Amino acid sequence: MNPSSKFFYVQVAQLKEANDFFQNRLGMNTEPAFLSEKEKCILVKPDDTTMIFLSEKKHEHQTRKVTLNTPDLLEDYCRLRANGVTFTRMPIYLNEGLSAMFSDPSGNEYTILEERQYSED
Amino acid sequence: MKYVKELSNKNKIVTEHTCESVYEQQSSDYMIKFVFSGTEDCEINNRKLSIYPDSFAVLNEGSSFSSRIDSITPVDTFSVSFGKTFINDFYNSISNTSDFLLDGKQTNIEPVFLESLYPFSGDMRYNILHLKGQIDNGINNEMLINEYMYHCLLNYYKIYDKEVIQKMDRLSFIKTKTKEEVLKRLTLAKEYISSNYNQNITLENIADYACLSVNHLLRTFKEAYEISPYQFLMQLRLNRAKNLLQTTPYSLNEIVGLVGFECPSSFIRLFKNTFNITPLKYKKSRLN
Repeated sequence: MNPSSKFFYVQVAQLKEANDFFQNRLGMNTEPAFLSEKEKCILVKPDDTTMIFLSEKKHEHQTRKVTLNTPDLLEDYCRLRANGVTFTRMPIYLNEGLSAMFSDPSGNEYTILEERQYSED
Repeated sequence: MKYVKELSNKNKIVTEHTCESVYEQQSSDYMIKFVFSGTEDCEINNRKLSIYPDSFAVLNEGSSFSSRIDSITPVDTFSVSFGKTFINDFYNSISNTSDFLLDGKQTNIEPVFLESLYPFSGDMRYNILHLKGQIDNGINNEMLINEYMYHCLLNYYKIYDKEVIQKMDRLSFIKTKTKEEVLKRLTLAKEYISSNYNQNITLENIADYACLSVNHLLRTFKEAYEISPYQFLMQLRLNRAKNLLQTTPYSLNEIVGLVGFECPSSFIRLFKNTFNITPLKYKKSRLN
């Protein structure tokens, strides 16, 4: 397992609606999975090192805020906007790099961040 | 090899990879010019300046402009020009409040850039490198290109604020007009040093170009930039030497001559004192 892998557990209102959003609006790979023997979930893989587990039930380690990294934020911002994603925060420059924010249909917040190294080499 | 991409809103991107080119005098658009490798010698409103990979040049609409490339190794240039409507919309959006804009009002003042060289670093470098990568891959998405260009203007205004407005505030003159005029001339001084950094330039040469007396230049330059013109020149030579060590196969002696040092030992001593590493160790570390 990659030591830098990131896992997020996120509660959503409906798995079907969430799957549609992640697959069709965000263009991410999704696959059906199980959190336990009885509980279905959806596994989203935005990149090689990030996994998001979407489930309808409430769990202890779930979060409502997810940060995703990108190599080119403006490219993702335009692509997602063209797919109908509404951004709650336009691209802004932070100390860490360029960042923007959107929500999923259940109101969870996703920050996309293009990390930038500003110090001279 | 030259590639021109013109968008429906008259925004334009031109990339060129060449050893030799001459562009005769022409009237420019609102334009920002970059060089990724090598040097482009330009003449803007009868001022000669050279664009290196660590700087970019900004031009106003209607400025008289010509350029020349004459190099043994290929020079990569990249320029973005902004259509009038695009730049006026941008200028309105950053100069007016949301209420003003929602009322459908617009100011009629057209933006005027301070034409000079600015440091090509930080977000401007990231965004322009992304845009260049997309253009090299044959992008056709106008919305995305316009987004990069919008951010390019945002980045320019931030650099302008840091390099001009904040430096102007440091000057001890009472009148704003005097501060503006002196900073404009200091910008010319920096432009002259940057374009002639590898020549044997004197304080008198710099002062002449900037239309300041030598004493006035020394005092106000230090006040605005917190270093003397000589220290600025040395920093520039060392940083450009660093870039040549990293990106070219030239020997150390060749680089010492190229950046304007006469003596390799004083260059090595200064390089080590500044970067805490010798030039050769630096070159090796970059190769690894």
